[in-house]
Amino acid sequence: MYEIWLTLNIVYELMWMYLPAVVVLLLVLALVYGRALQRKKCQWRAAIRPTLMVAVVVAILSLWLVPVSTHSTLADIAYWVDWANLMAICAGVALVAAAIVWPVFSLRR
Amino acid sequence: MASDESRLSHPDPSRRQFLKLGSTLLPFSAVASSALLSTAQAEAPAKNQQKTRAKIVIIGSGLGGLAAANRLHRELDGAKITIIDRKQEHNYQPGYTLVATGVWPKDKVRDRNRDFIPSGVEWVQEMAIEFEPEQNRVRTESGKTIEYDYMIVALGLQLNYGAIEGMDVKAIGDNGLGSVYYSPDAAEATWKAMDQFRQKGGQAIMTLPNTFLKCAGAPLKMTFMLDSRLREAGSRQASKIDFYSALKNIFSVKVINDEVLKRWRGLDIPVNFEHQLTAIDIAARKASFSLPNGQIEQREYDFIHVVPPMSAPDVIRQSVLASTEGVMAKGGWLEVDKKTLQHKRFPNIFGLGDINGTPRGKTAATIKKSAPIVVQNLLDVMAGKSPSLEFDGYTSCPLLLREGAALLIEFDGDGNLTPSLPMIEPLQDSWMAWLMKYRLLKPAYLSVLKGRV
Repeated sequence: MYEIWLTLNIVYELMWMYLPAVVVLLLVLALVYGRALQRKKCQWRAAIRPTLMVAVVVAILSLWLVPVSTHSTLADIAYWVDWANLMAICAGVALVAAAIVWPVFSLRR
Repeated sequence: MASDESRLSHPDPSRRQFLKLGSTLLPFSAVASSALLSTAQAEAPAKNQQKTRAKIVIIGSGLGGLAAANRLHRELDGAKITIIDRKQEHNYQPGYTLVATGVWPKDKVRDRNRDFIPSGVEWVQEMAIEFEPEQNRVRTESGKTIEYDYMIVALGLQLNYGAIEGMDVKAIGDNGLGSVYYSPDAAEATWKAMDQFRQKGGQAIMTLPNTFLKCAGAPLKMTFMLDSRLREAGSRQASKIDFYSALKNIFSVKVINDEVLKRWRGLDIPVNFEHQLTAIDIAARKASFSLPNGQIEQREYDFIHVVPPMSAPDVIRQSVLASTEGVMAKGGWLEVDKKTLQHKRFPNIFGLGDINGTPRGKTAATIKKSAPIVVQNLLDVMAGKSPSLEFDGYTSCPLLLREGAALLIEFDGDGNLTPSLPMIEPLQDSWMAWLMKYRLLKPAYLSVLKGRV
């Protein structure tokens, strides 16, 4: 439990550190979901496939981008713990990307 | 009066139980659950505040002092809490090695103390210059006398650059002189000197004194990072790195000492033991080392990293609060019980952080673990009970190896490795350990400082 509490606190502090990015992300999410929910005929189910494709592409790109953005390279990932964490982080990034594009794809006619 | 050096030294931050968070749990649990943590939750007062009219004085506004202030402010109703410290700037010292090796800009380690002091806590912006624990009072540099019922001493430690003849902290950054400890500016200037040195290479000297150190891993990190920077620049072949330790080892935990020495043999970094840096000629780039037999050896260098001897600040060292016997007396460290962190002769006084005369652990990780213990034990004493919690001497060190890799080392006061997550090998090069140091430890530090974890 302590580790979870500590983790929550770290994320909380990170959110304050990167507040502008967090605000932009929330605004974008509000915009695309607001737009999609206003539309009566949204293709939510049909949008799943392209959304997943985008998520996979983003996850693969993140495998390279996340280390680069932290003064590292993919060559530094050699330990299974590192791979597990990197993949989890990439999955998180992909999840965010999917959350953004899903309503956008659902708006397509 | 406390020296400038003591004012600039505050408990070093950076480390590893913070780290424990990350290795596996962070990515999985953090993002999904972060939205649950509202500001209100984060700063909510304790449900059962202890009512009191006690006067509590906290000496020092570093990580330890502010963490204690925030916790006491939350736990107590009616207490008069006073912080005494002149320092306005709050420095995230665990980040100094990142600044000094060109990873971070120095702005990342600079904050303002006023942003972290809870409302309702009085801040006396002066240094304490005299302690009278028999009368429960402290005198400040303006002559003000402040009385207390309970006191927490969290004054950090003192960097004794003056013990090295010819050393001038203003010269850090010039003539190949580096020293990571002194200040953010000095850390930045150290990178400037290192960056210039790596363009051509040459003779580098890394030093380690024979006193207790804050962040004892910092001299090792600087050495690993210098080697790495030289290799990046293609000048390692044209360079020689020699490490001079005033001790018979380079780290007090044997398994880590042996591991680092093994790695350094592989990197061609020889170590000269029992060589104490005693003098430096900055303009001529010459360093003098004293040997156990009294001989003095002089070495020329192109780049040197100076680690000053450290002690308790003079104001403590010369007071009745200092240790009077044993190995801690030499540095004038605060005489506390190593488990309860209560002063051995003045039970209404506790010590927190670097100032303590405890065997190991002058790091932020130590404060993270010990601040809640000190505060709870103080609350116990205020309630007329004996201290209920014991500190195991925990500390940790994300030992930088190069950009992108570090070791995540945790150990207790007896020098036993105490990995928070048993499946993680402490001596394994790890990107995750690097990521923690690079991006996650500062938010963890701030959480400690605000008294939340």
